Amino acid sequence: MENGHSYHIDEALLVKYLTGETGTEENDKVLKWLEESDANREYLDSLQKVWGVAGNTGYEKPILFNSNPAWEKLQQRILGNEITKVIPISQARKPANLRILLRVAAILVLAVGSYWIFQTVNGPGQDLVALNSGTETQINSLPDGSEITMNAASTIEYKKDLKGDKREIALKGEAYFKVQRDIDRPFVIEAGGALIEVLGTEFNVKAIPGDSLVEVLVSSGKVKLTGSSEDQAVVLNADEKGVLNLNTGRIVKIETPDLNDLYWKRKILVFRETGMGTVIETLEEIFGKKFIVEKPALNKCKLTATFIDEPIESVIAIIASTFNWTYELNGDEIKMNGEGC
Amino acid sequence: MYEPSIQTLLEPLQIQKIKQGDSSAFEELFHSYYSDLCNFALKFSPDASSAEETVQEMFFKFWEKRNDIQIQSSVRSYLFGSVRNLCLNHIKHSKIKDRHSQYVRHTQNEQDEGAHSIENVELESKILEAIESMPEERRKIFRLSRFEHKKYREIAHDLGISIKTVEAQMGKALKFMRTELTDYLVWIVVFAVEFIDKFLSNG
Repeated sequence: MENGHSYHIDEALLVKYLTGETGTEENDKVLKWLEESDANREYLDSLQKVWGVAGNTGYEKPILFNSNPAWEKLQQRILGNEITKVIPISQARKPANLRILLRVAAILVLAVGSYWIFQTVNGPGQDLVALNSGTETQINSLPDGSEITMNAASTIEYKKDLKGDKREIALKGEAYFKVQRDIDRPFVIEAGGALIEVLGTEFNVKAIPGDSLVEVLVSSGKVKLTGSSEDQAVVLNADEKGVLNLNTGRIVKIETPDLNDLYWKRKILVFRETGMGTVIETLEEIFGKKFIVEKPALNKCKLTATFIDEPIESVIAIIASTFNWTYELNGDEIKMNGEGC
Repeated sequence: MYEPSIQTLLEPLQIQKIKQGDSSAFEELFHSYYSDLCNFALKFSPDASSAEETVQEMFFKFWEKRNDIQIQSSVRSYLFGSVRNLCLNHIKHSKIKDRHSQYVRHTQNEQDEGAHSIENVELESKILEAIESMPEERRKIFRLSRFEHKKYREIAHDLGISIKTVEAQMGKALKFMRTELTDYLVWIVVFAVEFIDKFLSNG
């Protein structure tokens, strides 16, 4: 009498009957149906029970509840909880010989003397912690509970225990930050000549030495990006990107950036009606392959797909089956052919 | 480590993002549903501030165990269901603590002790949860018919849709509610009076 059993009548007609909206012909139809079986009568009976009891629930006019202060409260509660989930640095993956290298790197870095913001405050001999990522991405926790994921070939430095009025980090390369909220101690990052002050929680900073651009992409919260002068400061909100040109000192704000920039950290590729030309560019950059497309018409096709942690072979296979294309893999070269769109 | 299953990939993008730790997506979810959820909780809480506490508690737990969440139905239905469960738990706990406390707000006949029994609250909250779980248009149509006693023609006119649509949506609404309340049907006494009136006027 339950799921899958059809009562050979449209519920719309039965409800019309219950609400007294049926005309004579419709009434007859229902009555005839009722006569057919006990099951039918029981079914109408159950619908009528539901109808009846629903009416007794006493619908009241809704009150408007303000979600903003509630959100603040919830955030505090969640953040308060996250502080206890910190992974101590000693548990981060680091081979023994690298530890020695790091200490050496720290000394070397001090000796070179650069424009790290805290170098003059307490003079030489100040304990600095330096972290290098080598050839793989690396996740580290800071003494304040913040988390930094570094892309390959990147370096971070900070004062031991993150001492000081401000929590200061120097970055070379690329890293994704999850900053622990501390209103009394601003979190400031110096990266290739840009100053990034954290007002929120999650964002990505790209400052490759030798590059003339520093890029900051915010995932959540707010970040203030400052260039060479104070009046060139820009506040970035979630899903916004700021690009500082070190040569001109200017900052450009991009409101709908390509979120695939975060691929290296999250291993997620998202395409929403993206032209295949752009898709191929993205894939070439991320996987380091060269695409050869036999017909320009193929670039007109639009792809909507999400790939999570898929190797290039799977991505190509899926794209090919989506558009009915053929493909050939030759080392770093990928050939694609088929009908355009 | 976040490892998506096929089920997860079929979930709405917003939920996928939240599972990946995207706090903006979570904030959006919070603001969209907060007021509706509080109004719902208000019916089964002593006052507005407990109602708000309960809803926040639900969202807190949602975030904490986001990776384990499997949403089988709709996001809306999941959220209302979770708030309902928390309200019922609170009531049960407080009944254990103090048998004489009137935890539940009075929505029915106050003289009837039975009206405050846990079964009544379970039933009533389930009905409201079912109503809230319906898609927006269906919910509006159902409310206009059941609570404002509007005719199909009036509803069609108010919402700018066809009468056929109203008929179909009402059918779906009741079918859905019946499924949701299957386990509770035994508790429901037939409200014969109302039905007989209508029957007689139809001839």
